[in-house]
Amino acid sequence: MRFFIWVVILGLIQSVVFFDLQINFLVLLCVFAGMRGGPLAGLLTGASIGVFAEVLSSSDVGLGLALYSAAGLLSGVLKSQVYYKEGFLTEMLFSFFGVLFFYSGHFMFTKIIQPGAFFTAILSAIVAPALFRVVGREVNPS
Amino acid sequence: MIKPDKNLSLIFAFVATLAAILIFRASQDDSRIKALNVFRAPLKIISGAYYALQDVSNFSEIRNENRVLKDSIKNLEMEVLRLQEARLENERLRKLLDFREEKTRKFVPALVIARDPSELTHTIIIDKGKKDKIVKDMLVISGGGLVGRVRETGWSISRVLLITDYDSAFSAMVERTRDSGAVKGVMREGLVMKYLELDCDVQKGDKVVTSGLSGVFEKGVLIGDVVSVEKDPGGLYLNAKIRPEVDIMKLEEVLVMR
Repeated sequence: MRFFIWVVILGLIQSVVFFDLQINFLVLLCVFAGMRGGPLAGLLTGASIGVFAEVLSSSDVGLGLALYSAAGLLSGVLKSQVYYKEGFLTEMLFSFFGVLFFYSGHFMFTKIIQPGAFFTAILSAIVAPALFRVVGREVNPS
Repeated sequence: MIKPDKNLSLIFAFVATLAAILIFRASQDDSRIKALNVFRAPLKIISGAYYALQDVSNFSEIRNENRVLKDSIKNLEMEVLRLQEARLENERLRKLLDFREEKTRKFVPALVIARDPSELTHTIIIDKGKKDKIVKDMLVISGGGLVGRVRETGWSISRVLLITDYDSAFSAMVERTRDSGAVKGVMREGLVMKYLELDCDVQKGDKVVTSGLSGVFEKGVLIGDVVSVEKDPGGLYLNAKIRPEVDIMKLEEVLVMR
């Protein structure tokens, strides 16, 4: 419940305050849930974030939901089955590729290249460890 | 490896997510804007608090701006008097020529309360909707420049498609040369005016306005100014890069043209 409140707060803040900062907090939350709670937590968190983003967005219906869910699921699967080592670097790598995966998925479905997607991935990866610690102190997504 | 029971719940969650996507796709077009009405109050609180904080942090700047604006109001009052004279003269001449009275436009001020958090689209949410007689395709302006058009309306909330969105395309013309083309949004990179004739005399700094040809936007609304002109890769026409008159990323209040 507390994690969901974080999702709503960060989503609202991103949609009002940080829209020109080029940090994708919502994908970072999906990645965080997958890293800490595994694939199931990643998928469910991604789905709930996706529903929230769908309402605020006017992109193709279902696209946001699919992309956020996939980002959370992928993060969880990578952690449980491929590679995971506690630390800043892993968090940054997961976040960087999570955000990049999100925009690549969007490109696959819409053939639209988001200007500055790579820059957003870098910025998001930089702030990820700090965000994970702040959110992690409050909640455990699993 | 994932344990079998976890595997089962993972599959279940995956199927549930897919089902949710399908439900979303199958649902009515206005279901999202209806759901958005629920978020109106928290969005308004957060955006209001944010704008207030911004004002407090820019206090000295606002005080100076206020002084400048007071001076310009005095100048504008003189200008209004002069224009009133011209209007009266215009009315007299119109009557003489038997012109029909033009329909007067009404403007509905609205507060920007949110944006698309995923940034996959350039849209904003405003705090006015059907109850304020806002309908789809109404023009939205701010600070004298075009912002976009209303895409969806809920009871007390509306979604506006910004001119910088990839889905936004409309006909426009260069004010000085009257050359026309199509203006398309390119997200954070601004706008591009396409299909300009190869021999046209469009230059950097030229103002671009709506031409009214598409039927969606009315004629003569300022869009922005030309930053650069270059030949299309195919070599058949020119493309002009346009900087929007309004800073799309810093919108706080807008006017909906009714």
